[in-house]
Amino acid sequence: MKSDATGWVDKERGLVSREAFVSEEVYQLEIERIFNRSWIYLGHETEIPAVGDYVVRNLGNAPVIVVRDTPDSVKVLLNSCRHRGAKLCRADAGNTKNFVCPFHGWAYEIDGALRTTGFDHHFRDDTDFSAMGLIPAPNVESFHGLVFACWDKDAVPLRDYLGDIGWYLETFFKRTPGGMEVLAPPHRWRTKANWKIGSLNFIGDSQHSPTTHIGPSTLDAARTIRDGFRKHGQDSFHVVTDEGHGCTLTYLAPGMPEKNYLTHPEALKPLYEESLNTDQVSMLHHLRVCVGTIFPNMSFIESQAGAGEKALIIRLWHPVSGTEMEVLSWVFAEKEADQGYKDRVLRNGFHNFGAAGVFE
Amino acid sequence: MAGPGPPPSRYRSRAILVYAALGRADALQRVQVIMPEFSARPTVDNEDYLAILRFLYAEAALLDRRAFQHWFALLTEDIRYQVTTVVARPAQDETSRIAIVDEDNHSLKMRVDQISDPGLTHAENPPSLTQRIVSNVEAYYGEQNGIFETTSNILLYANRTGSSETGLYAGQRQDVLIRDHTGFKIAERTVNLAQTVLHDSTLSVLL
Repeated sequence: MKSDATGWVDKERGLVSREAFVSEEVYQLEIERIFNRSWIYLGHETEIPAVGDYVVRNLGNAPVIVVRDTPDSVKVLLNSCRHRGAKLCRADAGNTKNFVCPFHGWAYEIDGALRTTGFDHHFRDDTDFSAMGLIPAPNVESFHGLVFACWDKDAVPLRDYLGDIGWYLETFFKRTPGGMEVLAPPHRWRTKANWKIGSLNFIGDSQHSPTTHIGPSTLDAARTIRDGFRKHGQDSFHVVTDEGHGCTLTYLAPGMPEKNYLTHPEALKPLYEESLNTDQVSMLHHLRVCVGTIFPNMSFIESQAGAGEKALIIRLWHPVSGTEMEVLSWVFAEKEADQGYKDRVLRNGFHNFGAAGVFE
Repeated sequence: MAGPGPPPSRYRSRAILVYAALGRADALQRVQVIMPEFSARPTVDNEDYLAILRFLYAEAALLDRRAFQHWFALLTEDIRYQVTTVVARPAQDETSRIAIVDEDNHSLKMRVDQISDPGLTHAENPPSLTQRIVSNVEAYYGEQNGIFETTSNILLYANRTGSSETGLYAGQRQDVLIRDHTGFKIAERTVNLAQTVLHDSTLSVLL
């Protein structure tokens, strides 16, 4: 067992030891130094639209409740009673007026404040019950509906953490006045692989695509031909920002007609122009695929799905251990889109990238 | 339920007998509450039941033998094939399910073609070793002649030979079968898995 990380990464030669993808020691260090200090994506505001709506997620290796405590704010609370540490919420999602511990009945407001222990009179007279609320994540911020939280109270603001990748995220998540909405609860599956495999795959590994995804790219002839996937090659740019985020932009090959909008409803086109600047609209107009990762473990992809739609997907690679992750996958569409379009995006998005996706 | 009361049916009277045998005075109400997905339609007679049972067994065998194209030929052109998992919500809420597979004929054909061709699939190459148990079959006459609604339980063991992972999938299936001169065809299949999270990577087998 190594006493520190030296030897796992050879920066000069651009090599990373296989050990970094299986070691429990590395995993523990990642939780401590990366997941407990970084802004971590937890979910989307449209998953919890009403006051009292909550979903249960993980911030690092700590289970948290993501709850809408007022119409305009979201709290992230450690899912553990302040009394004896019992798990408060055993559901994945719900709506509640209070969180009540199933062990001794301690009851909390949805903003985490302790309402009553049920036996307050047993405590000393000078007990400060106001200090016994659920432990909140000190930093919670939303970027166009994307809810992030961070355990580090000294964290930089989310907008600074995202840096230049925010410009690209805006193009996908703030391209209409209403913004994007989650079309269904996330698909979830566990897989015996290190979380970094997923993050790295989405941040800059276009070369895997023709081999790994030979099935759908061969069988979905309509897509292959329309995009000139094989005949015309690809025109791709790889963007890496100073903050460690990145994405790959695959454009329509030179000479290919600009028909990207054919896969978005015509009705949305003016809304894009209303919400985005001309450079962002131009990028969207020419993009065939965009795939990227927000450090450390949130990825996104927008690509052709089915015959006539694009699907925007978010992936979370939650580290369970050094050798296992839980993957969450959400499908998004513009709030303003009609229901028929949303239904097709949902079906086709998950057909490709869901828990039984043909790209998996 | 609209109207003055439920229409008489062999199924319902049988269920009442079962619950009456268990000493439940509120038998009918409980059957409706506990098993809302059960059809109010009459159960099929023994001859049809046997034919449906044989069809479901033969169909299951085709999937275990990886005769996917033969299996696909048993589906109607307007097939709707769904597999769902549960979002765990508090017990007082209604059960919330999400489709992890939601296919029509075209998209299901792609899936079948992919796992049929060793060059096009990684998840099923080497092939999963599957063994499925289809059980607890009940069948009902549908609205029109030649249409049947069936419920069955499935337990599927899937051994991913190329990895250390072994999948075990338990679910209730709700099918709509159509019978013509060639035999039965599946027009709808919904597989409701008793799972919230898949524990063995993504689902690459048919249920």
